[in-house]
Amino acid sequence: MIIELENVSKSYGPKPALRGVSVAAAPGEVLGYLGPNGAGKTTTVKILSATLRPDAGRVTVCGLDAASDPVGVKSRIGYVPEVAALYESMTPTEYGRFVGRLHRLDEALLERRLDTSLEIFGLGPNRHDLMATFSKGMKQKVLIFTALLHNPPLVILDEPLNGLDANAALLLKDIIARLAARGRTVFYCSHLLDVVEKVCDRVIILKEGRVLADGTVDDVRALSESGSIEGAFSDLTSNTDWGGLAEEFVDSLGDSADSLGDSLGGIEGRP
Amino acid sequence: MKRLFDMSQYGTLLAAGLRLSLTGSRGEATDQAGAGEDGSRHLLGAAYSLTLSTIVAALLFTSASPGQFLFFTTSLSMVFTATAVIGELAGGLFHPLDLAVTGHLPVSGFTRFVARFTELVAALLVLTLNLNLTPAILFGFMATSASGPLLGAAAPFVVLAAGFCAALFTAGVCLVVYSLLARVLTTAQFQGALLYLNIFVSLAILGLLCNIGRLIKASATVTDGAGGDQLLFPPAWFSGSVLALLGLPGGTSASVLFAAVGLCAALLPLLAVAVGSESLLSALSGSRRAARAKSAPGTMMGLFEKLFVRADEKTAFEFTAVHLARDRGFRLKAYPILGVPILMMVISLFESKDPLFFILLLYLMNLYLPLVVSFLPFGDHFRAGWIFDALPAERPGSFARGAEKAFVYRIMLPLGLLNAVALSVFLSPVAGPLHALFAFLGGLFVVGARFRKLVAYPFSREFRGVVTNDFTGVLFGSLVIFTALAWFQLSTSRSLPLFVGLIAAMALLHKVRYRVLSRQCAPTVDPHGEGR
Repeated sequence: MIIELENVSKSYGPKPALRGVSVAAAPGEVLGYLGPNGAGKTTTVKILSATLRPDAGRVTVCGLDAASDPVGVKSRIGYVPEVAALYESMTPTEYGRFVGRLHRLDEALLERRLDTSLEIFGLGPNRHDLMATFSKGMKQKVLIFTALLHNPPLVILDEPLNGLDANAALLLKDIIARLAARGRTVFYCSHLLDVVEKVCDRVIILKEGRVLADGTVDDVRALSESGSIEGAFSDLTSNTDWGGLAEEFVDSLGDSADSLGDSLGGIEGRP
Repeated sequence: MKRLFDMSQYGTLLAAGLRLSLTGSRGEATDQAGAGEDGSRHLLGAAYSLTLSTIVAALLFTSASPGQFLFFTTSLSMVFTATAVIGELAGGLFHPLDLAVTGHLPVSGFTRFVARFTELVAALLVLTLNLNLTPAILFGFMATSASGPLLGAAAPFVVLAAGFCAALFTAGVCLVVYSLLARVLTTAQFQGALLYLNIFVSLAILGLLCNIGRLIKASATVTDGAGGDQLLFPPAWFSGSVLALLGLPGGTSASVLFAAVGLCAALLPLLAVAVGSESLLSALSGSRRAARAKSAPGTMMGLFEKLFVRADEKTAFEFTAVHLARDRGFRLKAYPILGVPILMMVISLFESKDPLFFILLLYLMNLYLPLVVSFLPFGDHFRAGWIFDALPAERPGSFARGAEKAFVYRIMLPLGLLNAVALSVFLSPVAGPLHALFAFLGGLFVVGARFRKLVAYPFSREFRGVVTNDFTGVLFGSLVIFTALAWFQLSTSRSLPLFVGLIAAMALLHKVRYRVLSRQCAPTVDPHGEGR
């Protein structure tokens, strides 16, 4: 197993974030990790990437114990956080060198991978531009390729499609599939359920720090009458009539089709 | 029909703008990715300007005439207003992202302009009060003794009114310069220009404080109102107006005329800039052209790297060297600190030829170095410091050594060279550089010790002030070491071979120190990253 979390618990003060979570992932598996806001996804990711110690439980990555060998664990992980800042006073080339060297990559290999990555992600012409001038999507590309520079056996992606355009998103989805085909494990956290459905082999649904579902995409789909991951997620985590709520909200804006007529002459509700 | 001005929208925009400006969170509100500022920094800034104006006014109160007093306090107020307008007020009020936040809302350009202009005037009022309150009160006492209690009671209000006019004049001139620069330069160049302007002004203020006695003597022709020099110095227009209105010596009707004409001349372009702020914002947004950096380390840096930087220190060396040169926040804090001893050296070089004096100056410069090192963990892009938690930084000790060498390369070496050149000119072509080298090697001991005490990776934390109790220990230790070194330096420099031998021994000691350190790991950084 590449990832083994056994009965992991973590609390922030009196508030529990994870309550006895157990997760395992094999080489070549793309694992979708889903949950509503505050479910404990980011806490799991931090514990898995050895940047946070659990209160209880055992965490093993690539056979290494995260508590006793955090540096060893970090060297086997490529991590793209959900909200990540970059050193914007650096160029993508400088930042890539910085990350690659801390992973102790051979200089020639690092330069070769850096060149290839910059070209493939469309950043070749911007390789010597300060990242302060980059768009959100360009910065996300830098985060993604620098996380993969050392070709890690485990890739942790937390909302990796943030800010990416459609083409870059397609590229990333293909990269994930090909990494998995070559035996890399991908731990994929996202709120985009349709993407998870397409990209992942297995799905875990988390709520209030507890695992509610863990199985293949088909297994989890079968938990809902609608036969979709979206349906299963909604049934398990909220049991809310979203259609009814949406209707109520739109109703609160004005009276059905009349408001469209009003808007042609003036905006309703204005003096 | 489209309304030109909407009072309700104006009120909403003004309330939101004032709240964001006064709490210092405007940057955060408009730029989610930006570093943002907290309100305490604005309060600190206000306290700083109030304290500085109080110190200057107190210094002048006993030694200057009423005319000189007002001229210098008005000058200081105008210089501070200029830095505030260019550095913060304009940066906040004319933030390009303002357009992104409110641009799509159905608010007329005129309503937006009136709100923005009111906000600027309110900010200037607060600034004027901070900078002129103490001088106005003290000037009231001066006017009472010169013209009686009635005029003495009125004087502070006249000074505050003149101070506000001077602030409006300064803001007008600065905003015209600001808008011109914003249109001509790229964002990076523009921010760089503002940074160096801020550093220059900080040093100018220090220079003014160091030489206030000489300046008072030299300013007689400006402040007595008799010569035409008054025309050349805008602060004299406003200080002279106060004197003229209160019937005190030094004020002429010409001063009032200059002040009135100057104010109108500055206000017209100020209005034009404010009216055209939409296009200025668009220009600023559009000017975010890519700023390019060098593709590889320069020749000098490459040479230094080859000679002194080990392979495992290279990452930290390049990372720190890049940020020492490019991190705006660090430069803004560190450069004025280093400027103080340089300024003192420049001023003093022309006054003394005593070797003891020069050596003391060298060690004064060294004393500032640990303080600059203390700023190293803080940076504008501190949020990017998460990367240190996520990466397998197994030997933080090597990172500290690499960072130290970058500090030597970027900060200490240029200072050392500057000292060597200055001392070779003013002391002796042989002894001067040797003295500079000795002080450089001495400074390296203290800087090295300070680096061992750093508890975070460079540029990975938000600046919340330097830990003073930690720093006091280093400063005390530095003083003891530097006193001993200065004594050694002075007593051994009489014999050239002995002096050169001592320098060689110190260099050897550093080599041994680096060798010992390279076998150690600094224990201060938690491998889990939670201690960052």
